[in-house]
Amino acid sequence: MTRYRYQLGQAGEGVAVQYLQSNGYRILARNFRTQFGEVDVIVQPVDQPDLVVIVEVKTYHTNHVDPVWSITPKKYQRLVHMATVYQGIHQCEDVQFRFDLVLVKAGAVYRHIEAIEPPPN
Amino acid sequence: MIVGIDEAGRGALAGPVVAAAVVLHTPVPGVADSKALTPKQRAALYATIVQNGTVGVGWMHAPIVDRVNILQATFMAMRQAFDRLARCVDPIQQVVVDGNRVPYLRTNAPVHAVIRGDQTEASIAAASIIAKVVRDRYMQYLDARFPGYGFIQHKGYPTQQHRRAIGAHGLAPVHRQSFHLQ
Repeated sequence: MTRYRYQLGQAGEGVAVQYLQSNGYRILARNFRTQFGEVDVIVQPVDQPDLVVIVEVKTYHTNHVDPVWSITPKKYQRLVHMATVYQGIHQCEDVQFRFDLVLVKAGAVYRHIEAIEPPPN
Repeated sequence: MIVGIDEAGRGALAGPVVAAAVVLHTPVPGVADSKALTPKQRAALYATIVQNGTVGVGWMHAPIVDRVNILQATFMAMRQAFDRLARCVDPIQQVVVDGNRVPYLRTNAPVHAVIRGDQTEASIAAASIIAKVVRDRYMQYLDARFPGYGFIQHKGYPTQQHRRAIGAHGLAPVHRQSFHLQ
């Protein structure tokens, strides 16, 4: 990854975190990482203590964006893996998980897709 | 506020090295060196520490341990744990680290190494419990993902059972290849 792409991603994550915080989410973890993958942000709705949301942040600097293409089966699998590990470490068996996609463009969140579906293979 | 830092899994042949940084806002009774407690006591104290303190956790996985060395990987994990904690607490007056060497930390507060600090400093003991519990739970996950090695029993540490399993199954991707494994 080039330095530019890294910085773009980092900046986008900062924007997404601020957006999530001001929309009723509590940040549980950022860049939660295992040997087999990393997830950008893990949050929880302030009024729903039994729900944990795994958020993938995508930052773009171009205009043509189709979010359908940004979650590949492999990436979805990674999100599920991260949810399993998070659940194991925090011993929260009674918690529901949801996977969200936050799209950032030009320093602002322009789309927040809740509960993304597993992609077709 | 005094930050205590300790690590778990430095001597293990497999799995990550995990570090925890802890500030205790109120004293937690029963906190002692993680190695002197049973897993059940550790789990109970883990919950109490999280409620009565602020916690940061950092970890470095086996490939990082192989690329730098175990000492530097431990320091990296400690740094990550400290940075994550430092975002949430203010001001930090002092940092105490278990062991005889200290990592470089991004703070103006004095950083001290305390030999056997997990037995003398409450915040280091608390950090040792957090690091141990987090690592053990992750090893539980690795046991499910790589069955046959017995990670759930020995947590990656060099036991006879573990060495025999390596002999029988070869290495898993979570083994530290720079260690003397055979």
